[in-house]
Amino acid sequence: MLLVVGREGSLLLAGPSPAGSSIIPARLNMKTTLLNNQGEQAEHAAEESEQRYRRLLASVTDYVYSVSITQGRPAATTHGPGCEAVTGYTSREFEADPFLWYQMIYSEDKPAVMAQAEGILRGETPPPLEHRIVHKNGRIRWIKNTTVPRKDDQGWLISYDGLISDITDRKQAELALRQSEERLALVIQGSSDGVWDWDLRTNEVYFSARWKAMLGYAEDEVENHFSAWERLLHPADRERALASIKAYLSGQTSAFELEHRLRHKDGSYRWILSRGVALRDAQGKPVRMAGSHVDLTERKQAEEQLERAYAELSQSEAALKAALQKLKTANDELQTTQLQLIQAAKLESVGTLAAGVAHEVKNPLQTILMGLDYLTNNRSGGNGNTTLVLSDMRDAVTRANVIIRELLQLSVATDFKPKEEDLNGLVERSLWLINAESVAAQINVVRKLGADLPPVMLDRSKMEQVLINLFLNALQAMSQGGVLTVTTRHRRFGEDLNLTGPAFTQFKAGDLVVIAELQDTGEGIPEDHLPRIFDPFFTTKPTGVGTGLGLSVVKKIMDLHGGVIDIRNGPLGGVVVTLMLRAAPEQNG
Amino acid sequence: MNNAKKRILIVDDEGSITRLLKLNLEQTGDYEVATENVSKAALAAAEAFRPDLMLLDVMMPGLDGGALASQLQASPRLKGVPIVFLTAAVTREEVRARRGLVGGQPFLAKPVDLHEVLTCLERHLGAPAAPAASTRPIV
Repeated sequence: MLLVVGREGSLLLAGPSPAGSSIIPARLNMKTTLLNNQGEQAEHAAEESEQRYRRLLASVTDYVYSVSITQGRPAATTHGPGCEAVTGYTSREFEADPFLWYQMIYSEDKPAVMAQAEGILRGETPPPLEHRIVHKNGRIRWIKNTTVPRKDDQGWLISYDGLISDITDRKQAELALRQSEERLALVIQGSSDGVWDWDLRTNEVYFSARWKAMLGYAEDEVENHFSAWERLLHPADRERALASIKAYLSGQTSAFELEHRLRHKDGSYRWILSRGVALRDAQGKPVRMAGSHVDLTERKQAEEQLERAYAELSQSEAALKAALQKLKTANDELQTTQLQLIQAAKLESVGTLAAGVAHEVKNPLQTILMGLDYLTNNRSGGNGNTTLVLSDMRDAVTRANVIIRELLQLSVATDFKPKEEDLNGLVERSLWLINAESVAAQINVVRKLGADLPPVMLDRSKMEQVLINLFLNALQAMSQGGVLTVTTRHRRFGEDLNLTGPAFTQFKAGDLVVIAELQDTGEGIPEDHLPRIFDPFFTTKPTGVGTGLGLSVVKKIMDLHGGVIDIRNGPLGGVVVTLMLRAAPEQNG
Repeated sequence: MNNAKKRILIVDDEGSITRLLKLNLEQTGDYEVATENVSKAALAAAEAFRPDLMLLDVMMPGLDGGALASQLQASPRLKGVPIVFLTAAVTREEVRARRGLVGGQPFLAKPVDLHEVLTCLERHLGAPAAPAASTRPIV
């Protein structure tokens, strides 16, 4: 609505109409012209009119200005009464300052305004111009400036009017909308998700370019309609998908979230997560729904891969644990081997010592022997005793040599050369070797050597070492004298043999075995020592008497022969040592 | 007079052994024996004495029997003279088992009695040419 001041000074009301502006006389009386002394009633009426005027004024959004032209240039400009509402300045202020209107224009927009004015002066009819002004209150207002030229009969411009409309609200709304649209576009563009916007009334759906691209389609390959989505649904998911939508739209569910498969252009199916929100009208009926699409396929594949990798990892972990266990076991074995090696080295060095000692003794023995030979050949006279003496001396040297030889066995590299031997013969020989000792220790040696002993595969010297060692042990156990009983016999394993223990597992029932048994009448072995007697260097003998090597070497030699040695305390006190060997393979026939 | 007696050189660092060996061997009347107790001097002694056979101990200080043997075999004057090792380092059994040869070389294992020595000498040099000057039982 605008107020126009007519040439006569009368007020006219003008308002917009489809045909243009219509001007009707405003049947208003301004307060100033009615001031007379017509009494209270007249005054009251005047007040009422003024209020109506003010109300009308407050609703003014437009006004008109007129520019008179003289000789092609603007001569004077008048601004209609509505200008105060729109610009904040009164008509009189505009009248007083011809440049006020120019100053009022927002600086950025000044060029455009001038261009419009110059267009009119040239005789053109420029289009309406939207520009900003600075309201008297300092605020920026948007106005629309529509110019209407007036020409004379010859077509010369005589004046023009401008219709000023305040479009601030509309403009701000426009700007806000544009910003919102831009933001949306940016978001859609920036997000790698597909966006959909479903108009529930028309069933048209906006699918973003990305939405379509996710399924391998170009923008024009998918119709922007709900049915397009339906057609892409995987048949197995169809029922569930439609039910899910229905449930949400009807209010049964409070959120819409749907995992479903859609057909890719290449024929495969992609797993899609769709989420959305509905816009409802005043009655709560949904009118619009929009949301996003996320392609889950890769995620699902990644999940699968992860599960598989995890499974593999678990397997690897198990394998790793097993390997670790093996490593631990190997390490333990290594340590044991190390210990064994150290022991073997010790044995070797002792063996070397024995060799050195033996060697040193041989030279003196040589001298004695040579001496004996000389004396034997150079006896002049002398008595019968001399012969005996020399003979005994010779025997002594021989025996010493034998002992030395046995000692040397400790250092000889293990050449195991078993031959068929008679165990009884070896027993006798070994007993003979320790004869002097047994006599000196006042030991009574009792032999119970079995007849018809089958031959055994024996490394003679090594087995002699075993027997000598055991005999010497027995002698030492009976320091005050005693009886050493040596028994040999043969049996089938299992019959009347009350021998048990893990050591005997190498024989099975029916094997023909040869047994040598040594029994002494000494003090026996303390029970807690028994488990360790075969350990190298474990000895109960006083320091210097024995190295403790004896039994460990004995056991080694028995192992070499595939035989068994068992040491336990005898029922009558003392120790019983049992050697068991498999008889040599029997001849057939 | 034919030079019937065979000449034997004995090298051993043990004086009592060389003394007694020499005594026993010469008493048979079949051999002339020279002895040397210092291994390093043995080469010169051998070249001077010109033995028919050399008995060498193995374990000797300074120059051991093996090295000495190489020296002796390299000497042109001693070419072809048989060498027999006399040593405590090897057992009798080993010598017997190897038919008197250890590592290709003839060995006698200490302690060795006179009879064994004489048998060995005969094997290498042949039986003594002349009957023994004195007869006595050889044990």
